[in-house]
Parts: sequence; structure tokens; C-alpha cells
Amino acid sequence: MPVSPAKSKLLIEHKHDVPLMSCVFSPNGRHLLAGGRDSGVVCIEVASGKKTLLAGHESWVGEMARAGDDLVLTSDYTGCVIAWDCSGELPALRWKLPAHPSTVRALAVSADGRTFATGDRDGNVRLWQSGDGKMMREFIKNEHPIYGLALHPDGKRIITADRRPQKPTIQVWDISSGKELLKIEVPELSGYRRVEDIEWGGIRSLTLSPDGSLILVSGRAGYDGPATTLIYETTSGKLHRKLSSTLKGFCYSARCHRDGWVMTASGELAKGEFRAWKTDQDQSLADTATAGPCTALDIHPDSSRFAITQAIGKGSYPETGVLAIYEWQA
Amino acid sequence: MAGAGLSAEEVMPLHAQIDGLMTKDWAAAKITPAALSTDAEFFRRLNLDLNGVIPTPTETREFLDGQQADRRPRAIDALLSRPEYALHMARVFDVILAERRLPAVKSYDVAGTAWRGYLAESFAANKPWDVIVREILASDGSDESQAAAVKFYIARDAEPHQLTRDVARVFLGTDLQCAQCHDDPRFDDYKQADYFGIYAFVSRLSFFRDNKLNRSFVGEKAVGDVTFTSVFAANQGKTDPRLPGGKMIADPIMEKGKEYVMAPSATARGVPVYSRRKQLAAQMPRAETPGFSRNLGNRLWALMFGRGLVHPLDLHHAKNPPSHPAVLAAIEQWLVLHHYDIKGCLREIALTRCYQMSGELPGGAEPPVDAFAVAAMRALTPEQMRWSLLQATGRIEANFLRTLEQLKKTKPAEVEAKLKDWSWRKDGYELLEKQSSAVIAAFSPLPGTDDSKVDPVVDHTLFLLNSPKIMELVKASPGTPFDRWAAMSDPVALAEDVYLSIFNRRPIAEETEEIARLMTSAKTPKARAEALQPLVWGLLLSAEFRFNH
Amino acid sequence: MRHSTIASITRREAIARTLGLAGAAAMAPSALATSPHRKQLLVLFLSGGASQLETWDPKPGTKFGGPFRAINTSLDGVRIGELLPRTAKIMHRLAVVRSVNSNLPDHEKGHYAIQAGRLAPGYPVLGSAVAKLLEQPGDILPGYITLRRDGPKAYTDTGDAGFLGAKYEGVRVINGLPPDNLIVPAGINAAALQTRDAARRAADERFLRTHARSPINGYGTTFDQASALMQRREIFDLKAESPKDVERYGRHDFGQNCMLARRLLEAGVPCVRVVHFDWDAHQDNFYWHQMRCAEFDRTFVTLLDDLEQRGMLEHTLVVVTGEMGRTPQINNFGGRDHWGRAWSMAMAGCGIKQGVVHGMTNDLGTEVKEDEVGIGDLFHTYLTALGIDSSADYHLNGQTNPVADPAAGPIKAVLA
Repeated sequence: MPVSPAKSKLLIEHKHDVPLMSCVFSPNGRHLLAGGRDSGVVCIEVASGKKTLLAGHESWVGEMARAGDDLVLTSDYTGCVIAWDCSGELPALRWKLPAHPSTVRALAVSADGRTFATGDRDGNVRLWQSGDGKMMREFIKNEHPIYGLALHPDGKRIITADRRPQKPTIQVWDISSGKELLKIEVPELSGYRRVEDIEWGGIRSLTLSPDGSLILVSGRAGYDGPATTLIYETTSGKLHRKLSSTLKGFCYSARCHRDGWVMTASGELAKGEFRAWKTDQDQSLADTATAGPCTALDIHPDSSRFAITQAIGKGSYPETGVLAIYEWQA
Repeated sequence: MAGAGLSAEEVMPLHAQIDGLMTKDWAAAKITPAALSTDAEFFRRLNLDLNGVIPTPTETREFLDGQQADRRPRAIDALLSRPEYALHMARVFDVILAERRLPAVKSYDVAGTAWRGYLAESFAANKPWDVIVREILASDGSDESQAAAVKFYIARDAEPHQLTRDVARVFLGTDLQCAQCHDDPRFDDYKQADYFGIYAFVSRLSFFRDNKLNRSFVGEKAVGDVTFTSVFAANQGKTDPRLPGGKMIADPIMEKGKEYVMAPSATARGVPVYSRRKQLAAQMPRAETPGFSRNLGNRLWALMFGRGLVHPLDLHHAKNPPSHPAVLAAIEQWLVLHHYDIKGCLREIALTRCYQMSGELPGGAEPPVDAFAVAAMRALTPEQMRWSLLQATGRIEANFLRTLEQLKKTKPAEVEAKLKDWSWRKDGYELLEKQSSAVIAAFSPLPGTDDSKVDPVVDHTLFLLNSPKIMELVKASPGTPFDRWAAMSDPVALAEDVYLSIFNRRPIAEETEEIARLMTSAKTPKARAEALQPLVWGLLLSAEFRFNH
Repeated sequence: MRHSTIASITRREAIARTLGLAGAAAMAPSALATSPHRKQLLVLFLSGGASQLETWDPKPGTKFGGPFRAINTSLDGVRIGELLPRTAKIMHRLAVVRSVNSNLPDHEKGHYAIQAGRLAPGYPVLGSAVAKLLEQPGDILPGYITLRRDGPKAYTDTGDAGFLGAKYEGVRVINGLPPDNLIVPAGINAAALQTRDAARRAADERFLRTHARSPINGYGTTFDQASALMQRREIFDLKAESPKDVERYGRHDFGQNCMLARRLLEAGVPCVRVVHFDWDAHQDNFYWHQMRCAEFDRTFVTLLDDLEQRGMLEHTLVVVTGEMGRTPQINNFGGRDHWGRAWSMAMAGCGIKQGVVHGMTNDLGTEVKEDEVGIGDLFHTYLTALGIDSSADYHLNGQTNPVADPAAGPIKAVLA
């Protein structure tokens, strides 16, 4: 049943005792997993709202992704990746892997679910088999922290996004040869200030359109600009569209709906929002303000619902988190 | 307060009050003050303090040879009425108000000439301090006649926290910065609430650049409340604008949709119907605002003595009281009674014996600096250094001579009027300013520091020793005093002229002898100029030149 | 002497006393010169405020602990943040204080107070004070040189010689470049320079007969410093270092400034400060600390190794501190804000007991739990480690001022 991106309704809101920063629905849509500023993974049974805590990680769980028919992969700040088998009553740990010696802030799964890629804060990118967590190859040694990864549906290309100062960069690589096919510099998402010599901005997330023809990178336009998502053409590297919010903060996550429109989740110091966009117009279709900054979003496999994580607190310091499920209306 | 029906002067003029109070304080502390300064000491100091530059040899000769008993008060009045007074005060108050700060994008700054022009005009007209402050705080850059007054905001990017801190520091002499985070545990009377009370006046401001007009403005929103949370206590407070010790000023209720004269947008700065900034401009410059009058008194004192009665100038609080509270109170009271007459106040301070004291130590002992019992040895400020280097090497006179010659040729009818017109002088100085910017660059401290922190450091000295810019000044080139000196074959006359030019006094015997020795083998004008050059340079490097004393 | 009793006098104190160190007026520099190794000070200043939780005092797995792990160190039972792996291997050579409470969550005030060892304005900062207190006759190089990159915020330079005057002001070296104007201008002959300098000295000598000594002498010193810097400008020349060494220290400004600092200490400059800029991580604290710690870790260990190998560490006190710590609470941009209540610093080298961790914060790292240390205590400790009697007074310009805050005292547990 087609849904309207402009109309959504809050179904259920779960409070969590730490600020949240990642979430994903399981492949069968039965569970919603979320991670945040501790080592626990929250698991909600979507239908019943039943909440379970999954133990296994050693630090903050920053990234999550679905893989194939059964698995959800989660990664943490120590570089550990866990595969949760979500085919049963409750997700069960299938394998746990010390994938990197340092923080993993980028995780992507291939279209067929058989391969996944990880990127760490030292710039390493590795390719793995989803089924058993075996490393296939050490892929790229980049000098800058990897903050976004995607495996192209053609199975031949991998896309990385980093946080290099002044010109955060997207690179499209040929997997088999390891050669760079395309490089897109995104100075618009740089918040570099020479005074501190730190890149305040950078690309905070990367995702592909379902057919792989567009690359979406998110972050903040400049040092104090609005939350922004830039859409590039994967083949030419040409800027296709700029989705610019009015919220002064970061866009932390963008996801493409199967019907072609885009959802973004953004946050500033003490509030947030999510928005729906079409990829061919500048104005968003709808926006919803939230109490805390929106830190992540995921679309349910049935494409009728989506989940948002938030960090909640007094002033600028979040104490707790919220995990909410919304439903699109017809 | 003065007695009923009597003006303050009839009670006792301020300078006499100050001297009386100081004498009492010295006696209580068993301090012997220094003797009265010599005429030369006094005249150099007075020129530096009131005109920002050492005097010319001609002026010095005239003063030293003057016979009138009242030559000191006359000199004070003369210097206060010269165009150079207004130009000097503009430079001094540029540093006080803008503190050498620049906006984040330097090219967005208010033009220096316009800003100092505004200040110079204000001081030339002896505008009362409350009027100046009101204009500065009220300006958003749009009023054509006072557009440059917006510099106070622009130099700080109209950033509310920076403004809050500097409004308190510059106009009230207190630093509330630490209160930004919590009730300052050190200074009981600096309350976090005071900080946020001032913050509420400026929190709606923002920097606005009009790219079409190529000008910078201050924009203001009509909404935005200030709440603050103490890091340590769990209490949270909401505050309307309020000056320390004053009452909260609630916003009037505005009809929805009618809050703006011009609503803020990407192309408009935002002008609210009710402006909290204008409230600040109205409330701050009043005798009722605690610290406002005291701060001015203290800063004027520091201008004349190189150190405040409260020191550092922006750190008045219970644990850092004035060194001479009664003196500061008397100045404060005088300022209120005389409607913040800056020129008049400086005149009174210059008339005190305390100001006119010698820099020579009383009985060889060095009294504490905050006793003001001997004229302080203070490094020339970057601006005083610049102009004094130019004066000592004859560049200022030469510059005006040149333009005057030109004027005589082209517009002889205007000569008379121009000579009295201070803006003509101002334009003349602007040319020299451009030529001597390297001196300022070498001597200026960091943004945010005041002129009481300009002690000589090795970088300055390296500049004076080795910079090509200094070489230009000490070269025996035509149109400089070297022309005059080279022509003097009598070493006594030569020594007198050199010392009057550089140290603004006549030489003592051994100084004349030193020059005579140097000149023994120099028989031609060219040889004399060459022999003299290193000596002149050496004198410019000496402590007697480097300091105001 | 305010602090020590006769019974507790250490050998160093006894020497200091015999040499007349009890008051600054009596601080006979000639006596100090008999010491075989002149003591020196190196301050590595982590400007902006490093997070104690990501460095010396990790609390992994706790509410405010952040995402990083703690790692084992060369010191049994002591763990530090995973971002400092090299430093972890030399912990047995350091003394770390985990219980600093400066209560100054503010850059400007913090920069001054931490370096001056008190809140009262007008005092010299550590480098200037030590330059004065360790002064020896015949010293020509500036007593204190401070190194940083260009362009940071003004507060980085806060603090100066205070009432000690211009002579002890830190000479600023920006971007590793020697000060401007170190070369005598062309076209001036030596005889003219001699006449110039003689004329200046004669004028100053006459002026001194009747006027206050300290400003005139202070100004005079800047000429001695200028001439020393001109003569020895090669000490600023990093081209003299091998590319391998450049690499070892790191090509970033902190690495290069630390290499320069080593050269300056070798050349005999008594006090050197290197500013590591900027640690003020109000956003993305963890990314920020990852970058800064990586720079610091490698450079710091390289520098300490070099100082040790060259036999310099035994007479050089190395102080690693910022102007404050960072809030345990993590804000919504993933940043940590200003915090002065419970943070850490480290020391090594001259006069410092090796392998000590002093003080403790509570489980969440929000308060000091044991052995609280104030800014005055740290200042006393630095001076004591350098063999200076921290209970002495300055006698200058008719005023007596304590060298260190009399209400505080040295931390005995970290002193050798």
C-alpha cells in the first residue's frame, strides 16, 4: 500500500536510560534494535513493545545494519562487531569479532547481505563475510577517520566518506582492483576552523539510493550552518540536490524510502527534527520537531514505518534516550 | 556632596581635594612623596598624556624659557584645546573601547578612520561620557551621523557573551566572566545573576553584513529569553535585562505580528519595535548605575598615571578595592556634578601636585607603585611610541610643513582657516599613520589587553635595533632635523637642540661633552650628520625616551 | 622558613639554605652556579583544557566515562586512556595527579591562575617565576621562551612576568620561527653600532642615578636578550635536525615545537613552554581527543626519551597541564565543556618521584575523593622539584611578595 511521506503518526515511544545514537529494524521486521552511550543494545519487539537488553558489546554502540534474511550487525567504539541472529524469539549472538583495534564509526552491508564493510577511526576499511565474520580483505588505508560506508548494489563498488579537514571526501572504489574510480570533495560540509585546527563538521553519514544511482551524505553546512544532506550522482559525481534544513545543527542520518523519497534525522544542542524530502525539490515535504536531537533513523523492511532515536536531557546535557516508532499514513 | 548652594569649586577644587587626600594617605603610610617635577619633566609628561606625543624642540624651548608663574596651568589649557588632544583621546578610547579587537572577518570591520573620526569629533566637542556611551550602545550602524559608533559591537562580532563581559569590563570596571559558569566563588559580589542580567540586554543581538551596502550592522530580534543554570547549584533562574544593582526591565507586551519595524531575514538585519539594546543605552550611562562613574574616574586617572586607583582597570571587586578610595570617590563625585566633563576632569588631575611630581626618587627609595608617591615610570604606549619616534625625528613637523607649503601655493586664502581646523590636522596625521603602521604592529599587545600592559619586551627592542623601518627614521636624510644639526658647528648649541628634540630637556654638562667629543673630527656638515646619526639612534633606544616618567 | 622543620630538611633544602636561597633578595645566583647541572623547566601546556577522562583518569563503562577503553600501563594496577598507548608504556617514569581541583572553568582565568599558582592578579607565571628564581650571572639567553603555533585564541598567551618586569617575560616564538629582526640591518658599520650602543648605555646610566631602577634595568635586559638571540639564532634552526628526527617528533606544530624546545633547553634556556593547541572540545570530544592525543602521545614520549638519553631529564622538570579539565557530562554535540573541579595533570624528571599516581576522583569522576590538590599546591611542587624554596619571598620595588601562595604547600607524595 503506498504511503504519504508527509503524514506520519507516532506509534510508540520507548524511554531508555542512556542517550541513544543508532537503530535498525531486524530483517523480518519483528525487532527494533538500538544502541547508545553504553555497551547495551536495546531490543524492542515491535508488535508487543516488549523490551530486552542484549549484552555483548564493550563500549558505545554507534552503528547498526541489517544483513540478509536473519542478521543484524552492530559495531562499537572499541572496534568490536557483533552479528545478532534475529530469526528467533529474541536476537541471539551468532558471532563476535574484534574487527578493528579502534572505534568503528562506519558499517555497511551489501545488497545481498553476504558481505559487509567496516571503517575505523584510523582510516582502515575492511571487508567481511556476514555469515561467519571472516575477513575477506583489508581494503583501504585512508589517513582520515571513516564516517560513512556503502556497498553498491552492483556488487563492484564500495563508497567511503571521511572527515578530512576542510574537504571531507567521498570516494568510490572498484572493489576488485582497489582503485579509486571517483573522488568527490564536499567542502560544504566542512566546519573546519583554523583557530582550533579541528574539523568540527565533516560527513557524519553516507547512504545510497536503493538503485545505487545516488549518494547521500549528511552533516552540517559550515561551522554553524543548518543540518544538510547533499545528494550526488554515483557515476558522474555531480551534485544532484542539496537538502537544507532550517535547524542549525547536524543531520546525523538519512535513509531512502523504496518509493524514492528521503528521510533525514537531525539535531542541535537541545532539540531535533526529522524531515521527509523528495530528491528533486529543495523544500522538505514535512518536518516534525522533537524534544531532543534526533541521532539516527531506520525504515522498517515493510516500508510503512520508521524508527527514530533521540538523546534527551536538560539543557545541552542528555541523560536519557528515546526510541520511537512512527507509521506513515496513506 | 557639596554643601547646599555651593558649587564643588567653592567648597574646594578637585585638584586641591586630591592633593589633600593623597597627603593624608602618604602620611598615614609614612611615605615621603617625591619633589615637584622640573618644568622639563612636567612638560614632556603633559604632552604625552594629553596629546599622545612628545613636544617639539620649539615648543619645549618656549615653555622652559617662559617666565609666567602660571605657565603650568596655561600649558595644560593649551594642550587641552589643541586638535591633537581630540586625536589623542580618540586613539586612547579606541583602545579602551575596542581593545584592538577585530571581527572574525577582518574586512567587515568598521573603517578605522571613520571610528576614530567619530571619537575625535566627540572629544573635540568635549562630549560628556554618558552621551558618548549612550551613542555607542544605541548604535546599530544605521544612523548616518554616528554609524561608526557601532564599532564596539562589530569588533566583538556582536557576540552576546563577549559583549556581556566587555560591557561590564569597559563601562563598569568589573569582570563578570567567570560568573558565566556559576556564582564566582572568588568574588562574592560578582553574581551569576548580574552576568545574565547584562546578557539579557544583548542576547538578541547578532552581527549582520549587508553585502549590497558593503557595511556591517547589528541586528536584533524581538524575542528570546535568558535562563541560566548554575553548574553547582541546581537552581535555575530566568532574568529580564538588569544592570548590577538595578531593577529588571520587563519587555512591554507587543501585539503578535507587530514586533518588528523590520523583521530579521537573510537580507535584513532585524529592527524590533522594542529594543533591549536601546534600553541598555538608556540605563547604563547614568550616575545611578553602580560603577559607571567610578569606572570613568579610574580610567582617566590611569590615563594620567599609567595605573588605576583600582588596578587592573577592569577588576573592581571587594577583594581588590581602590588604593585611595577617597580620591576615587572625589573624582567620581566631581564627574557626576560636572556632567562627565572629561576634559575638565583631566585638567583637574593635571593640576594636582600629585601629577606634577618628579620622577626622581624621594631620598633614593622606591615607594610602592600604588602609593603614587613618585611619578611612575611607564612604557610609552604603542601609539605614543609611534608619534614620539616621528616627532623626535622631525617627521611630524616636516609633514605639516610640506602640506602647508603646498596649500600656500594652491589655496593661499584657506591657510589661515586650515591652521585652526582640527580635521585638517587629522587628515595630515592619517598620512603619517599609514607610513608608520610597522611601529604599531611591533609594539601592540594582544587583542583584549589594555594600555597599562605594554611593558617593553625583547621583540620591541629587536625592532628598535634592527628593523629597516627604524633605519629609515634615523637616517640623516634631507628634510629631517639632521639638516639643522649638520649645519650647527657649535657643539653646545647642537647638544641643546638634539636633547630638546629627543629628551625634551636641555643637556647636562657631560652630555654636551659627549657630543662635543663625537664632533671633534667631524668638520663638514656631512661628516657631522654621519657622526651624529648613531648617537641619535642610541638616545632613541634609551630608557629616558622609551618611558613616560 | 614556613614549611619545613629542621628535622625534615632534605639534602637539597640544606644546600639551598647554605647557598642563601631563603629569600629572593639573598638568592645569590653565583651560589647556584656551583650546582653541577643547572635545573630547567619544560611546560607542555594543553591549552583549551584536555579531558581527564580521555587521558590520565579514565572511567570506562561508567555514566560519563565515554566510549574509550582504559589500557594497562607500565605501572602495575594503573590504567590510562587508550588514546595514549605510548605514554602508557612510560608511566613508571611519570607522576600523575588525578585530584586537581582548581575550580576555574574558564580559559582566561585558568591560564593565568594555573600558571601563576594563585588567583591574585599581577604575579609572574611559572616560566617567568622560575626564570627569575634560577637566574645565574652570565646568563644571556632569555630566561623563558614560549612556543606555539600562530592564530590561536588570545587566552593562550595570558599571563606574563607580572611584577618581575619585562626581563622575565616569555619570549614568544610563533610557528617555530625565530623572533623578527634578528639580523643587523645592512649598511651599518660596526663602529656606528658601537657608538649607538655606547650612547644608549651612557644615557641609561645617567638616568639611573635618579630614577627607579627596575623598569630601566628591565628595559636594559631586553637589549642583552636581543643581542643573545641575535648571536645564537641558530638554535631556532630546525633544519639542523635530521628528517628522521623531524618525523619522530611529528610534523604537526606540537611535534616541531617540542623538538625546538629540546634544542632551546640544550642551548641553556632555563624555562621553555610549548603550547599544544587546542583541546577545547565542546563538540565531538571523542574525535577531537583522538586527534590531539595521537599528536601528544607520540611527541611526548619521543621528547621524554630524548631528554633522558641526553642526560637532561635529571635536571629538567617536565610539567604537563592545561588550564582546566573537561566536564564529566557529555553534551548533545558529543562534547565535554569547561570543568575545574576534578581533573588531572602529570609531571616527570627533575625532583619528581617516578611511577606515582596521586589522588583519586570518585567513581563517576565528578569530584575529588582523595588527596585534593589546588593550584597553589602544584606551584609549590614545581618549585620544590626544581630545588627552589617555595616558602621564600620576592623583595622587589619595596614590596614583599611570597614566591608561592603561603596558604598552599608542595605535594610531598610526588617529590623525589
